[in-house]
Amino acid sequence: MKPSVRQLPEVATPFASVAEALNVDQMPWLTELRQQALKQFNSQGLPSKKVEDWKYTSLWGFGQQTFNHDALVHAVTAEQVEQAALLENSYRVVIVDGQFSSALSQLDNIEDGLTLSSLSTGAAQVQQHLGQQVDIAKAGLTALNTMLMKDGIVITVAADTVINKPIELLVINSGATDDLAVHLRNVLVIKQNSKATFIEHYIGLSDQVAMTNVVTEVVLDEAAELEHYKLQQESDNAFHIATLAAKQAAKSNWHTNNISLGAQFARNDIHSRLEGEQSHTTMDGLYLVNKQQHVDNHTRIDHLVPNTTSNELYKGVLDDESHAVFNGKVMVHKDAQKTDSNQKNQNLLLSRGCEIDTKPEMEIYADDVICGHGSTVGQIDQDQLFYLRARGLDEVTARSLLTYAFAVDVLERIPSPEIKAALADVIEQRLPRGGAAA
Amino acid sequence: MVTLMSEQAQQIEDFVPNEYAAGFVTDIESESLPPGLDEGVIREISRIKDEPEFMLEWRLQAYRHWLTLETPEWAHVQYPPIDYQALSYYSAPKQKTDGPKSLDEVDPELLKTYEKLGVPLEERARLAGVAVDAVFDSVSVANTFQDKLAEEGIIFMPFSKALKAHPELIKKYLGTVVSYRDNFYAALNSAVFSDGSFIYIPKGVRCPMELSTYFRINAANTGQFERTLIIADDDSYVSYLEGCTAPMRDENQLHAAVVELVIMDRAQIKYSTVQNWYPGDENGVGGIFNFVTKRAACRGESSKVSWTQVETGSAITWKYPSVILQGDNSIGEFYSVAVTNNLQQADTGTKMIHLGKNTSSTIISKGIAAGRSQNSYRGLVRVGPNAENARNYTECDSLLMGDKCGAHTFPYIEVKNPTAQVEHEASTSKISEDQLFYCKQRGLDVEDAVSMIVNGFCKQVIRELPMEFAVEAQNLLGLSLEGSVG
Amino acid sequence: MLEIKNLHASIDGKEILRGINLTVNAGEVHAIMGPNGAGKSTLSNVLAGRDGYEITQGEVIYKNEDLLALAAEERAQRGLFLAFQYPVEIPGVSNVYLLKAALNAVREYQGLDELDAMDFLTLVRSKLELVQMDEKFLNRGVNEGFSGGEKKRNEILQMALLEPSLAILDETDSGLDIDALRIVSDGVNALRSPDRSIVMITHYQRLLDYIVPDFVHVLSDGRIVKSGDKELAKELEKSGYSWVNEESAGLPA
Repeated sequence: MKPSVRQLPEVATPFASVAEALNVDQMPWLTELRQQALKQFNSQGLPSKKVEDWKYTSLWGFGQQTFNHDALVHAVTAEQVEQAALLENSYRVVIVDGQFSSALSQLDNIEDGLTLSSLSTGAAQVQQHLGQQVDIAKAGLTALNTMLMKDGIVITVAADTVINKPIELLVINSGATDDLAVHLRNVLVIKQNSKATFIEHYIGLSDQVAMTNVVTEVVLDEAAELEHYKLQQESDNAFHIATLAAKQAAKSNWHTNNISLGAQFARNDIHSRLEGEQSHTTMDGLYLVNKQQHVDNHTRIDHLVPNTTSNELYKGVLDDESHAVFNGKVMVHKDAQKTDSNQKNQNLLLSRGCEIDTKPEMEIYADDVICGHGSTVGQIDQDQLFYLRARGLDEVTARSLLTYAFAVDVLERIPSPEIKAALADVIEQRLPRGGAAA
Repeated sequence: MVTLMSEQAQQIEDFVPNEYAAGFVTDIESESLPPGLDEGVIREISRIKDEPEFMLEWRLQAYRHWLTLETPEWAHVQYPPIDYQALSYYSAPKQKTDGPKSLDEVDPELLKTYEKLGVPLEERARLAGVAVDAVFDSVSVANTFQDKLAEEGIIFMPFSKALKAHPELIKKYLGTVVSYRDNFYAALNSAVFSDGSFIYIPKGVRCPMELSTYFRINAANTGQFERTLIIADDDSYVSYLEGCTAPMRDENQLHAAVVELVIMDRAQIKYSTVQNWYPGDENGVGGIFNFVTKRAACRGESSKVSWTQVETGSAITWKYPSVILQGDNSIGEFYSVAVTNNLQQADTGTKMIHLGKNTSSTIISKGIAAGRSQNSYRGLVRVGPNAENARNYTECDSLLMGDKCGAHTFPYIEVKNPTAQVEHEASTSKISEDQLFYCKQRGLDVEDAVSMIVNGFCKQVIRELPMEFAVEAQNLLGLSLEGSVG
Repeated sequence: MLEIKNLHASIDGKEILRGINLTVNAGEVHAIMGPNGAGKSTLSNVLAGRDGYEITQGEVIYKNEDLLALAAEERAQRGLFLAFQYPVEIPGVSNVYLLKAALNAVREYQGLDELDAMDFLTLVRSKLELVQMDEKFLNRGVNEGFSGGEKKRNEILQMALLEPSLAILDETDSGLDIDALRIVSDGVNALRSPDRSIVMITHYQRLLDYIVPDFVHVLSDGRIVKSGDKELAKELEKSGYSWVNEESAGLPA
């Protein structure tokens, strides 16, 4: 099956010149990588809706937009950062308008075994991993990211180390630059028997048009564990494109929780490769969209060896004229016996005019497996609504409460109580009448 | 214990039947067009059938449109490109006149063929409650009980005959459910279709017997392109069955049918298929390429259509019997068992398009994959912006036998109305050792145990079939019901 | 407290209530009995304000207000409480949160401040004792995974906390074993007071042994066909509903 792609040289050309500029001071291997990506992007352009993975999401609006790659001086204060951050107590890496800011970051007393650096200084350290978990030939924006990636975070955790304090990567768009495009690359390498908690947090401080295109590559060695959160609160006019990909060695555990609230256009591609026995992936997600927001979550789990497990729960709440897409693919490869995989996608429609397209998929080439998926679309239960109203709650509050109750399932699965509480606050504020938690 | 397990696994793998009983060739003289496809061939088909002018025009339009299309590649099946110029588009047993008036005039070889296939055409024979249209290669060779049905005003006749007897009905409905622009194979069928069945059930009539068409491909290097059109007028009911077989040949043969159903106010069509085209041998040599477009339009309020299919044959199955729920309160159902073995590939499912208010649909799909086969469910549930209170329930289960086959699920759910309730569930597993052990402990041998479990797995679908077909379907699945149904 | 005058209600065009008349004064306990399909649940749903019922005739006056003009939550805030026959499960909403939200909705209507967390918990704990419920129920989802008896006790807990003026108990005895019935009845009896009225809707006389009513009404085919004191219930127990139906056959339609 050949992907049919739309040639968009008018999109590619301005990006290409930016890429040229980046090549000047690079390590040769990185220059080589960028050039391959540039070639790829020039030949394939942006995917059209004829490409199965982009069936319900059009990049037309994105293609029409011109972006600026040079950030002007920003004026984000420490106070603003404090307010924007999800956690008070964390290692905080702050990127403002595409550039790492050491002044705004909070990197004191780093525990032994943990290294944190920005991409520009840390790339050499992860040369063998950078670009390995993602495919620039796949229709999408990974090639674009690879040719233009400028900053991001590189995290390594040494073997047999438990990092207790969460690491929050706070990516802020200050709004100082019109139509700013930011291409970030994060690389996380967790060595055997180690454990860390990582939060990617994207936030816009104005309603400026902007683009964030981020690729996060994760390598989990044997028995490594990563709690991986992604919270996206970008502006109503932002384009947010994110790819998360992990390869997992034996007994490793990757728990992703992808919360998508902001942006006019958001696309997440999350991919786990279970390469070692007894490895496990939990993929959870929550999308709350309203107005004319469009969110598209594509997840994929590859069970490549016997005795691996996965569990996935994605929930969506759609209001106004929003549009959400869920595509979850579980692939059980030949001989990946004893795979146990379960996937659920549930959607709550609140308003006339919204649209959900959901497609849970299984491709299974081994027989001794237990695999299942379920998908539902529905609305607020009228009996529950009446019960609450008969107890004196007005309709707006009752609906708000039932919406929260629907969404909270996803938060219940979060291991860290502190992060759970912080995310619960964020969700509540998003509801028509927040403050629902007891 | 280890050897026992693998032995058991082997037995399970061997369980799905390999013998193809319908694989004989009928030795009969036939008239065929030479291989190749162009406008001349289409004019020739139309001329042989002595068709009205509008039909030829429509065929030519379809052909011209087909030339602009590319073979669809989205299905989870793989096969070498088909050389459409190497096929013959018309083949018919040689006949003295322009068609037999009664069974006495039908070639005894043909009667024997249907006898052997278990479809006796004698009206006094076993299938007394079923009217049969027998389609052999490109033409209908026999059509029973026509007089009895005519008393009720029911029209049940070969498509080519209906084109002469009721051109106004065909002109009114043909292509209104499946346009020739719909897809590659529908366009090809529209250009070259040869025969099929036409049914019209008048207002208020409940068809007193099952209507059935038996499709048989016999000639080599021939494509079969039949076209079926069923119209159920207000407050009518009909149950229709179709069966399909073909000889064992080393070459792949193409079957590209189109079925259109039109259901008016409060009318109901029950459409059952047992598809047992030749699946090819254990090395994947030969077998039918089955590319079929089946669609029902529930135009009337409270109309209902129910598709039930048991798909055991064909090298490749590409088939999505669908329902367009236009009428308020209309109902669509899809019940399917698809079995694949050896190197068979099936990509089958349904589309439920909810447009009217208070429409509901149910999808029950059971896939069983064995050998090195690939078995995919592909379905679409779409709820349009004005389809208030639409309801869908989908259950989609796969059973794997052996570690070399694949079972896949590709459901698409598209909802644009906030009052819709859609629920989809799917599971994939194998027969558990626990279940087998339990049965064996109760004294069943592995074969009976597997048979019982598989039968239970398919039960929801099989019970939707009319009795005669249910028995045939169970035989096809290689199941023995005797005393084992729990 | 409550005055129902010639109330007619239908659902999907089918008339269920066909002229109910009933007056309930402060402090009174009324039992409404009747066979299946008499319209008992329709009456409680109409009084509580569930959507889907069409009021074709009549009126309901509650505390000098037109009850039928109020939304369900406005009725609740004014002290009308329905103990549901089948309390719905609401996973994700904790029981304690609902109790607090419901209590504050009533207090807000009454012009009172919200209770602070400490006062609220103290209050809830005292009410838990009344229905012999464990505190762990507070943090579970509303009715989620509760047994039949636990759901009914949870209804009475809410009633105890909200201190309604008019409580409608819809088949509160159904599905209860004898111990649970005693706990629930004790809870209700403890809540009897001169300014609180109770309407019990029930199929069986059994409940009335525990909560003794001042008045008993027989509802049949959408109308109250007979009224009396608690002796009437005993008579019904003995002779069944057909006795009433025969007797009332002569009534004008």
